[in-house]
Amino acid sequence: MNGSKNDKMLQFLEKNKKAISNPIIKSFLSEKRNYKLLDKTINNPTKENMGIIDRAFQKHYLRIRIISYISNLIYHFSIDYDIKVNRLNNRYTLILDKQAFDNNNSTFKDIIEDNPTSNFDEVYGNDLTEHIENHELYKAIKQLTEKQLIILQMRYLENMPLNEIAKQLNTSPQNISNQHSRAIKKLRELILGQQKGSENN
Amino acid sequence: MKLINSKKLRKNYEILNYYDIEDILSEFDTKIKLSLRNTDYQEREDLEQEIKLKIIEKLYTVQLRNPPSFWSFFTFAKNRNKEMRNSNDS
Repeated sequence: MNGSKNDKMLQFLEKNKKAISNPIIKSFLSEKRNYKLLDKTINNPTKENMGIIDRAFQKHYLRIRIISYISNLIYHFSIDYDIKVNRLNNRYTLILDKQAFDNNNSTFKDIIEDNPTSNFDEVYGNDLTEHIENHELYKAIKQLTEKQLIILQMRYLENMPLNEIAKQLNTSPQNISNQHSRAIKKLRELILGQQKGSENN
Repeated sequence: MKLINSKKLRKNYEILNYYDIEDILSEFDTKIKLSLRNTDYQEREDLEQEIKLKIIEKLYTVQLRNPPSFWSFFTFAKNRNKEMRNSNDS
């Protein structure tokens, strides 16, 4: 009984050699479960058995379709991506990053002369007014006399002691101190006046 | 997450016999790594990410046609092979 069953299956396979060599059917039948299903269906071709094998096959078929779809996607996407990146790179060339000399790792940007402008004096200058960021203070400082401005500049920008300033300006330290405090007082009044003015407006 | 519950995705998952996107991606990992050779070294990391994103997106959106039944496909395969043999003979 068992032998005749197997014979029927073998006969079927022999008769349909060509169809079975089809890669999709081949891979479908290479799963033992599916092979058994087909065996069962051939020996007992009821509608139910045929339906079962149909559903199993359809799932198998879709699985292959999805896998091949994604494989193709990966391949074509990577090629398209490379084309896209190359196009962008050609459009925005990094000339400075190219190799400058043969047999050398240096790039063009390495041989550009470095001209530092980050020096404090170069950016701000020696003038006290250049160092003021506050707008009110700047306006007030513009109204000081030249001498007062020089004293403040020496005192705060160059950090000189009072007697040093006095020596340079040929006066006494007391005089410098007086003028200094007068300048500070004047600044204070001017700023307070400005603030009041803006409040009134 | 809302998207995970989408019917279409669950269907595509089931067909692939996986229940996690990570698993699907790792299944294709060799293929992805291979395809990275299609671009320059500096771009590979970006490309890998883009590919994975694309795969996830496609798992949500792709709609495959209805698969043929086993018996109709079987007949189709049989006849196609016959035709091929005939054309080889002539």
